[in-house]
Amino acid sequence: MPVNDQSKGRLERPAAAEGPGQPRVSRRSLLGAAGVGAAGLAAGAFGGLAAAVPAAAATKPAARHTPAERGDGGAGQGREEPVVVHVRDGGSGDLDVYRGTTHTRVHDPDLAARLRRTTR
Amino acid sequence: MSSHREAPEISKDPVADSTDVYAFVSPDQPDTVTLIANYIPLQEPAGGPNFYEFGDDVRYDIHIDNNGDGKADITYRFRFQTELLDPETFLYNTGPILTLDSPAWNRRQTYSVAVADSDWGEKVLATGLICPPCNVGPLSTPHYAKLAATAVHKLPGGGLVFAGQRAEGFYVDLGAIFDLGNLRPFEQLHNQFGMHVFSKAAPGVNDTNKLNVHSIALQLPLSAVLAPGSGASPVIGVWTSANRQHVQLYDQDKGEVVNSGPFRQVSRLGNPLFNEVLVPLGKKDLWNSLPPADDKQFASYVTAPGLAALLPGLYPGVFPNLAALVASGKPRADLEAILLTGLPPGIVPGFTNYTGPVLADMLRLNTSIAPSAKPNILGVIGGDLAGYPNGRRVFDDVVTIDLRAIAGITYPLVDPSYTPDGAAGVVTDGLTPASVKAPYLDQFPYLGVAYDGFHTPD
Repeated sequence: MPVNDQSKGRLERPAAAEGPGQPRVSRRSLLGAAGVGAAGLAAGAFGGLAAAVPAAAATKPAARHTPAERGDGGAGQGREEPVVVHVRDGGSGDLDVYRGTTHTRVHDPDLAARLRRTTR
Repeated sequence: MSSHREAPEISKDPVADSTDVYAFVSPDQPDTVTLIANYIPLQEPAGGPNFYEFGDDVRYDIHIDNNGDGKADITYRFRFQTELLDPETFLYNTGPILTLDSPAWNRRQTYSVAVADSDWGEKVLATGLICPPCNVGPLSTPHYAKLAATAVHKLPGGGLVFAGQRAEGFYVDLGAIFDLGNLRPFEQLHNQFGMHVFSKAAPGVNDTNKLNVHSIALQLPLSAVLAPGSGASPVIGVWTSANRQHVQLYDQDKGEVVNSGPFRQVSRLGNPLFNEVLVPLGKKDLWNSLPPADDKQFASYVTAPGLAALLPGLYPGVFPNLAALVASGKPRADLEAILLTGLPPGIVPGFTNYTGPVLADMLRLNTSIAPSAKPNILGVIGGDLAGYPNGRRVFDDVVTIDLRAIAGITYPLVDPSYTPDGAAGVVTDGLTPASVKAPYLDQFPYLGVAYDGFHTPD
């Protein structure tokens, strides 16, 4: 059978390490995030949010981007990545901030309140 | 079946819905293993104008555990990108597609392959690999088998990869089985809920015949999948998963879906029929989100399978010994071994695919067992140690194997005093590889050439 030779040398071990393990999450909760609606999610309009959030407020470090996760040559390459904010709990001020393949948990009651006011 | 639309949520997301996983020592290249993960179930070949394709927003993984902990030691990752050459035409192709760079092929997919190792991280192996088009018909794809063969690519470090449409190789009488456990060859023995619909046996019907799937196939050197070191186990555990980002949001201004956040697992498949038949409906979506290492919580559905309890009632008088076994409450340690740990040495002469005590649903392949010169589609229970549940070959009759195992044919492996019912040795949905119209191939990627939309259905 004919094959296309994509060989570019033998596999080398990169210095960085990232395990392939998958944290628990249900598909329902995953899609639920997408279905929260305008009251809970804000995309793009808060593009500067990630930079504005105090570093100390983040409860989870940003994940590393890998070429595969970005989908080398993928649709998003070379474009400004949107920032999506999910106001998990307006009362406590917990927000989830998504950008690229990262997720950051933020505690900012003032910001949560301001976001909620924009939807009224 | 074996995992087509097997859980409520994933049944609504076909591009991320894994249907079958195969793992076997390559019969024509016995120093390699072939791993295949199929997605997008039940494709009607005449699927135009928007023919089937992988999800650009899905990360497809094939995982390998080579130390028995139910966690991936090596993961091959696939990301796809769709390109539309001419957005002004409504056509998938504007003329015959004779080569993979044909300008007449308007909507095409390429993909990247990366490998992640639990020790040293992730590395992109190749990018821009092209998928074949779907098999449209004799005018659009006139030399399809040859065209699809040119979409087999070499990988750096050794190995082959293919991603694209193939003929469905899995055969099952879906319509009968999910009509309350009816098996056509034995339907006259079914209780029929008192309706007396069937009076004689009938041949099985292959409901997946002449349908296509999308396959991601790898052929890898043994050295690429086994743990390093001379004392490493020859047994690997294999499964696939599909992953989506946390957030999907429709951007109305751009008219496109925005994906954001880390990838999370939405679909998983190792042993055929595990989530489909053993895991209860209320937990199937949860199971799809978890890794094999978390499968201990599902073990009770293996050791006390619901189907084993149903069979004696559905077929009165046919399974008396199985009924007694179920009534005894004894756990089905045979099924636990087959599906969750592998068979330890000493159970089947000359065979083991045991990976240790961790309960994990993986397709376990003992790579030291050579391919069979005369394969038996019933695999290990048919005396062929190179077949399922020692990995899984594309032609193995996993429906019959699992039906017979659940019916008790394998229980004497753990309790020699148990005598299986006579029916346990013959129960089947009545299908064989002859029920599949497109022949399997003798070489990579082994699954048959995709059916074309012009001639199918005929």
